[in-house]
Amino acid sequence: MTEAIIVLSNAPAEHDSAAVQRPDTSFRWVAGALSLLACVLLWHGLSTAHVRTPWITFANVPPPLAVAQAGLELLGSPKLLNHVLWSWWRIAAGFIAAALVGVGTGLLIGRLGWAERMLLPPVEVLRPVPAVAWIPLAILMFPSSEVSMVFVTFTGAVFPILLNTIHGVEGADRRLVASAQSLGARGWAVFSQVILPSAAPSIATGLAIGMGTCWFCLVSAEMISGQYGIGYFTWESYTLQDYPGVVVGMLWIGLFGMGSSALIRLMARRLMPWQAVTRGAR
Amino acid sequence: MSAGRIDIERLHIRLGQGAQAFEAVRDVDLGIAPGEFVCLLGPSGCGKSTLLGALAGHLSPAQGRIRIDGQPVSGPAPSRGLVFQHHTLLPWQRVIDNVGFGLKMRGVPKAERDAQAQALLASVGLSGFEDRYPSELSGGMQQRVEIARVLINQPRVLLMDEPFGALDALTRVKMQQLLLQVWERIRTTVVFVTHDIDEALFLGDRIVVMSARPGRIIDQMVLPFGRPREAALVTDPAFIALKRRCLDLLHGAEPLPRLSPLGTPAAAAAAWRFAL
Amino acid sequence: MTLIQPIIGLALALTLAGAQAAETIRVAIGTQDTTINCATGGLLIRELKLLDKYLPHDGKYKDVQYEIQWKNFTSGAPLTNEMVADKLDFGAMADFPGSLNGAAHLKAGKKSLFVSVLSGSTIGSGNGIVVPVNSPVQSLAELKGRQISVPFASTAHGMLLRALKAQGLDPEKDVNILTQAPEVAGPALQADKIDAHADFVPFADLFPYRGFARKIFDGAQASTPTFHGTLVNAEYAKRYPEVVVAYLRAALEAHRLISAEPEKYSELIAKVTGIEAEVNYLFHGPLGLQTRDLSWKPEYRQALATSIDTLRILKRHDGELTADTFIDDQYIRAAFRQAGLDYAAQLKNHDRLALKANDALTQKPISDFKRVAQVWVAGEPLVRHYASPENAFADARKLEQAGRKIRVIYAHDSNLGIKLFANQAWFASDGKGQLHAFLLKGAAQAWAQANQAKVLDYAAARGQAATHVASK
Repeated sequence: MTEAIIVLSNAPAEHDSAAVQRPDTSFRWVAGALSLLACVLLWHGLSTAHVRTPWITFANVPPPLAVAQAGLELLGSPKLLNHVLWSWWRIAAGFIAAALVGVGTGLLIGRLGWAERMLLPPVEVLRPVPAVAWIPLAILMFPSSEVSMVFVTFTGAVFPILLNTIHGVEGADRRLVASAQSLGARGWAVFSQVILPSAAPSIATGLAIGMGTCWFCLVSAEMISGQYGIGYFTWESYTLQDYPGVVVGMLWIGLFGMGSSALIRLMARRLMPWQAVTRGAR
Repeated sequence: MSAGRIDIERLHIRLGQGAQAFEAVRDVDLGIAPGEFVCLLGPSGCGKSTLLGALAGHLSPAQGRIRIDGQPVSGPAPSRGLVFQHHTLLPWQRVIDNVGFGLKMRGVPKAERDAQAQALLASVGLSGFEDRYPSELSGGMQQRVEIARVLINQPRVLLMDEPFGALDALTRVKMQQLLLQVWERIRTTVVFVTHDIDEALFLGDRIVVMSARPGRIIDQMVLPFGRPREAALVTDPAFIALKRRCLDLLHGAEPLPRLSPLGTPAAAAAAWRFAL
Repeated sequence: MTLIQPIIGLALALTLAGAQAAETIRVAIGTQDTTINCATGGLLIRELKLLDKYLPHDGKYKDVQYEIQWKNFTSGAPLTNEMVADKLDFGAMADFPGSLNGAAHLKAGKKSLFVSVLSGSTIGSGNGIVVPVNSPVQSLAELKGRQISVPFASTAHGMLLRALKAQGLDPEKDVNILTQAPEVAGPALQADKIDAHADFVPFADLFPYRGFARKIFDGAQASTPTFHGTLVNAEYAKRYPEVVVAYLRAALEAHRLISAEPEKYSELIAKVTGIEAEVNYLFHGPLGLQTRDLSWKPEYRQALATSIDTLRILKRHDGELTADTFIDDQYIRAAFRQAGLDYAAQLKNHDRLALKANDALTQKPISDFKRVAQVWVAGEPLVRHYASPENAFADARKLEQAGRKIRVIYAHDSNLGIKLFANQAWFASDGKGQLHAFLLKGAAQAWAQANQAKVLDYAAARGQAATHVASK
């Protein structure tokens, strides 16, 4: 008996949802740049004209040119490298510690009922505490000022990482788990082969958000021991009523925060190649 | 293969919690011979997928028992492969790794795994797609990979929960033919759940008809058609007579929300907890 | 429907009332409650509602409604921020932050005036340097190569720089200066994280009082005058000079009240700020560490000029700020006149708040103030005064034996003349059993050598006083 070879179509079916057409990348860059330029021009207009309205006044806001000048001064200053390196060290150390603690604890809480019952209540109580409020305890609890500062940045990063990890673990598709079990996976294999990769996109999101919130806490952290750091520079400028300096510090922090978050997202995309692939892409 | 004998005795399955608890399957007695292709036919929500879930080991019965080759069922195992209606391929693994998953769980080295996986992919007509990700394939292709993934474990029992229900009509017909072609070679026991009468009559050796919830067996029919099944069978008078009989049996049944082999729909959904 | 009529009626009445309404003048005052030497310019006026007594209601202020607002801060910088943003009209701060205030106003196209001193020290007391309580360091010289923290750009920062230079230390190379606000420095001292900390009123004495630090340097050793005073927005002062004078009269009244009853108002300050009354009395009591003084003495003008220069050298502000155009004494002169006081006389008066009391042990009036000591007994509303530490210690022993508790004992430094906490001081005991108190161990040793005396710490000094009295 000849075997009839069933020929099935291996081409993508026509009725599949069309991939969303993404706008041309170069167009996006130009649009973004124009938007930023418009914002700067608006800022310039409002601040130099000392515009006052009943709800918000720009009379005392430093104009972009003053900020640019302060920025150039900082760039020319020999202390800039120190400021940047010290801040980066405090952010990196705090973030890495937060990643380890956040992902590790999140995996436990997401997977084990007893861990969730024991660990989640204290986490929820501590989460809303702002970085500034941690300062006195941070100084008293840790052996050195640097570790105290790293602790403050750590508290900034750990909660988004933790919560997103929990979310990712809990959101793992039960059918995938059931199928894996029906294929012979047990215990640890279920966790490492199904749950963990399933949670990976959430964990990556948590890490990107956590990197941003880590930078939020930098100014508070560097109040602990003031000599170097972008946060310290911003606070010192405030103390001296050097408002252009304050804005320069804010912009630096924003820039670094955005950059490091983007870096995390880039690394995540590299490690999760399956997310980028769409139907009919090849 | 002589293994794959299924004995179901006085099976009752209850689903849900507390006030929402209900009886999904009531007092099912069923025996399936090794290598038999049995179709479970019934209206939506009648409990046939629930019964399949109990066979797979994902649900435990309230009363009664299930035995495979004399051994009671107590949890999922690779000897009882399960195919869902929507594929459960791991999105982060390539097709070849998905297919080889069962062997990886048994500790088979990579080269051997890949060789076997490639052979199975060839048998379902997917040679050349080893390095793709599941999201790159069409629905029919994904289900083919799913079937290959389950078959690599050489299961004694193949449990299929409306595997072609999400596909379009033409693809469905072709998938049915492919399934029979593959099955003819391995002759494993198959329990195939469907609400499509044509499909049940085309594929099975025997049809078990279940009532609306709570599911009970209301009729069984041994199909007189020879193998291999030809496409022209659907217009055969005997086929049409049996189809009419099934229609009469299922007439008037109110469709309920579809159950899955894992329990109620709510149980299968992930809970949203906090937003950030 | 019937509700509409009364609502319309009310709306009409309000608009009519509004049309006739008097002008509302805002009097927004920024205070630094925890910087207790500003109490006469802020805390006391607010708590005792003294402004109401002096705000004008005649002439052009006949139908005026005053809207008095109070805002408290822990340092000068945010206060200045709000003054520049026109949220505050008055602000109390020290010489250094005051200079920054003046510069910030000029940069924003406005002007602020330094209208009055509130409290200061022509010799520099009020600022000080402390070390953790277990530190072996006893003097500034020993801080070479170490870390010292100080609130940035404060009057204590200025003192620190000058003190280091006077000691022969280069602030850039020989020590490591960090920025720490007092609220951060407190825990750092407790946890031994910092080698030394320089701060302004009252922290250099509060931290030792609370037991986790020890004072090793007082601003008086650097002989650099320091003060806290009040600034006003120039535009506001030009428009409402009478209001400014009224504020200053309220400050004068507050000064009179606390001079008359220092213990009572020290307790009030303690209640509001949490800073212990014993520390408040150290500053505000008779012969206190700082002197309340509302006149622009030449030393204070000099202090302001120095701070302007120091900040310019630190390249922190450039600009046209000068002490002469910044200080405006017309308002305080007017306030003195209205209160019946002699401004010219006050300018020349360098005395601290006088002490007129009898020695509580011997009942004889105290005439020589060099070795005055004081004891504050728990439960007593007034402090007891003594002509000498040995008298004070003897009486304290008697009281303790009778079951009374001692809140604090004060002594005076024989070299610097400043008031000290006796339990922080070093003593030299001469042959006659007379005790001389010193802030610095080194100073006690030097005096002891020159006068054949013994050096004692507080515990030993108290023990000796007991035996001395017993043998009398």
